[in-house]
Amino acid sequence: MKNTKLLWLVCFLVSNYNLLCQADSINIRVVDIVADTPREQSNFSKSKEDPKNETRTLSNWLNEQSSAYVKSYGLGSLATLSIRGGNANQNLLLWNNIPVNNPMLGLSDISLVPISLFEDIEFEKGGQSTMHGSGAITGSLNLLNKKPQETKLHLISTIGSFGRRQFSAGANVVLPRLSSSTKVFLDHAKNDFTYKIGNQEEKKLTNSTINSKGISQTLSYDLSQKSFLQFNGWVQRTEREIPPVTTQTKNVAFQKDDLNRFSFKYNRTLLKGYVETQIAYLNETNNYVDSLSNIDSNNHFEKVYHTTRIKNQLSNIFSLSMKYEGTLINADTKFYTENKTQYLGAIVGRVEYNNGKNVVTVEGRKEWNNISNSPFSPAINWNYKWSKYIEGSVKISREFRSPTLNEILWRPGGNPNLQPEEGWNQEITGIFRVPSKGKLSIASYHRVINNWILWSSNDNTFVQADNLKKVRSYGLEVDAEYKIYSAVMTHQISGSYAYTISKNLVSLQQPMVVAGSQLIYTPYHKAILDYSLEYKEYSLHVNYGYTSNVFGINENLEDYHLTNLGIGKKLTMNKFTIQGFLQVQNLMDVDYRVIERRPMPRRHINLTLKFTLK
Amino acid sequence: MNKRFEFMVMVVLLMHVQLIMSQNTTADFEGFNLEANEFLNGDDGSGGFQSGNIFLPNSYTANYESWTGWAISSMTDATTEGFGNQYSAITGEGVEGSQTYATTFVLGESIIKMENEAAGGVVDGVYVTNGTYPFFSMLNGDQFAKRFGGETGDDPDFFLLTIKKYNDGVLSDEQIDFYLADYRFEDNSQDYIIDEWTFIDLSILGNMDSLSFSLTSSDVGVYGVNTPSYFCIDNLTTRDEMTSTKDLDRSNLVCYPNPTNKILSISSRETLNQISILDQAGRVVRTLEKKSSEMEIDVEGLRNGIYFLQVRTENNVEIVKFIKIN
Repeated sequence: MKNTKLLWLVCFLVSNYNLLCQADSINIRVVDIVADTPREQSNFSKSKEDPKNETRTLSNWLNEQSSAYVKSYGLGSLATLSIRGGNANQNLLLWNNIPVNNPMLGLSDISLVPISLFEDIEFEKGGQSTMHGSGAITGSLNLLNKKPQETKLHLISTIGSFGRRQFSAGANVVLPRLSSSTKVFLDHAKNDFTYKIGNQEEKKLTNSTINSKGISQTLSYDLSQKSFLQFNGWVQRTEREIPPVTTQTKNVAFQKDDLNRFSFKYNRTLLKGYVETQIAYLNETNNYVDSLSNIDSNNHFEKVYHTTRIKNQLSNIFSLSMKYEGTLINADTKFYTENKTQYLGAIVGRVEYNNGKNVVTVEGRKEWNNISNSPFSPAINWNYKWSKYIEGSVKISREFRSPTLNEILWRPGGNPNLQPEEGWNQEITGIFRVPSKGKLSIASYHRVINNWILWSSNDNTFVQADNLKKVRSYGLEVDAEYKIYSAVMTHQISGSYAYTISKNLVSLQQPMVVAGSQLIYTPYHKAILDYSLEYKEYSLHVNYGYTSNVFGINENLEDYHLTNLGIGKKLTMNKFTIQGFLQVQNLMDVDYRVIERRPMPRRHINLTLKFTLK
Repeated sequence: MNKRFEFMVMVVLLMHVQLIMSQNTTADFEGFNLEANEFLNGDDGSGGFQSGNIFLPNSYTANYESWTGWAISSMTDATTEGFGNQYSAITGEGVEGSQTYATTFVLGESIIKMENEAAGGVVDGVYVTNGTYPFFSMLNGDQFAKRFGGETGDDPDFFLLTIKKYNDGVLSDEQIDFYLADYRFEDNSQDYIIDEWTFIDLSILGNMDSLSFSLTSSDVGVYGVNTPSYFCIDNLTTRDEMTSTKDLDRSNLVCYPNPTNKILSISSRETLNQISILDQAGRVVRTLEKKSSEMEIDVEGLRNGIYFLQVRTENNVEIVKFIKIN
């Protein structure tokens, strides 16, 4: 039993709002759940060139802006995403359309993703397995580097509570055929905040320092008016100490995460479509060291990914898309005994009918790999545009997640006989628009996942990965955004609410699972309310979030309300712009926990200055 | 280290009293001839270990490179925390400085079988202590298991070893509860985690074919017990030569009056060496030592309730329940 807990130690041991930003700012888009058809319709202005956007990690940002649930182990610590009652390895992180979830763990630590490195982030809720493959059961996040549009330079510096020091910079160069975008960041924080324990005594977090640095590079070269080459690179080094839990006297463990990601893309516009091919190399190492317990665990993988997609407009109303994906993964850890190399191939076909009012897509995906099985994954989606104010969509799809390498190969407990998690997903969405001002979307979904993989010791022997659970998830999501303009003032208000039921349908002894019970760390309610005011060169931002109580592993956690406040000022002198932004996080000084025994920071501040030269 | 320990004796009425004429054999595990900092975890497929007149079963799973049941150890590391130090006793040595001891990883229960002359006989007792891994897990906590006492130090945590016997394949109702760690005291200064070899008298369990050891902890979550389920034993002593055992008539021992409010009188045909009164938590609240066939013990100061009278003769231990009233 403890063996597997150690395994977890080593493995771990990890809305609908939109930002319409100017070229250098972050644009997070939540794509409506009707596949990728209406992406272009989902752009809504929310915030422009807010320095605060560029100093956050993906986990902080999503937690404040999305009704998806971010499981954060603390400031600077592991954070994973739960969408629509799924677990962390049922959503997929993509980088420029390349799946980058750790193939050993099947998940991504989104606390390690600085959003300043990307121009655009697409957040798609709902089943995406047919489009993106294994692990996209509940949704996907796509980090996008884009070809820059203008030459400019920016510097951002942040100081804040708990020893926070952050610096980032970006340089865009645009030449007639060649363009380059370079972004770098350095981040340091001690994160030694105080927190209260049960008897109201205050304690200070120790062994919690994080140092992170990274660079992203995009080079784009126009071969002709119809074709271009693009290189993307992302290199990052993170070292962080692992703080003790509140029931632990001390901890001296630390973890290093190194990632190197490179991709080349060729795109050519055809007479009635396009062809695009992309090859990527990913190399990542995770090293966990605990000198107190003599643990030095080094997990490493390399991945080569290749895809080619072609789209052809067959007629005025029909189009056909085909995609091939090939992946080779080589994983290296002393905890595997055999077959460390995985080969994976996939073919995706998609037919689209679009008569202007109705968009119907039928698509299917089939994967093969040498380690586990994958089911055929079809999806059908119908989007009906009633008017420019109202549209709706219905989608039915088969979702799946193939077992991760750890679940199959880890010793002890890996199970080579695991079947993929799979099940059907149904979604229905209504969208009501006020052109140029806002929209309201209401979505409902239902999903049953069979063969849910769980590490358990049901037969009272060792913990092993098995297909044990069956989980039904359903819920309601409401997202709204409205914007009021005037000559000198802009108000923008947005809200997001998720009601989530995700229930076990099978009882288990260990872990103790009662049929009909809500999954652990799955809140029934999460709500976000966000207000921004821009008046001349001043800005005000207020963000409120509510998360209801959750069931934990050892204890249950109470609900909490969090409020964040920000004020900013912008000065422009010819081509030079200075922006200042002061953020007060957890304004009401709430003592709360997202994960049991893991304290979260109380009131703290960040002061950011951004210099831009165009 | 707080040297306090206690055992809670939960006794269902004894049906037989046995007079045992025997020799003793001690399983001290020294015969495995381990050098310092070695261990045997059954990876040779032996299925267990024989020492003295006992057999300690081991189950080794090659696929997992993991074991359950018993291992033989001469590990001396009493300072390193964590799973990697799973074979060490917190004492860093066996009883009285010996080199070798046994450690067990308990999944459900760990069994010790009585063999040869000890089969079906009485076990006098065994020394136990904590493993280094669970000791530091309870003392300091780790990323999964809590530090005993919890965030505030006030949580009433415990790590309990329960010992039962099998006789003719039937698990006994009688049990001995021994706290390897106890943080249930109002006064936190009395909280303790066992860090020395501590003797547990097992003779009160009577004759047996095998011993059953199980662990329970207050630190339990969805995934079961968080406290590492290990402990260590040494010098388990069995009484052999069972041929001279004979049953005695229960009327041999007489206690009166019962219930009583002041004096409890005990008489026996045998010479009584010691009588002790234990409360329901197993704590000894009165002890009287005198070689006599008749003894009286004052119970007036005791609170009303049920108590156990433990009577020791030259060759026997018997427990009788009595009630204290006003």
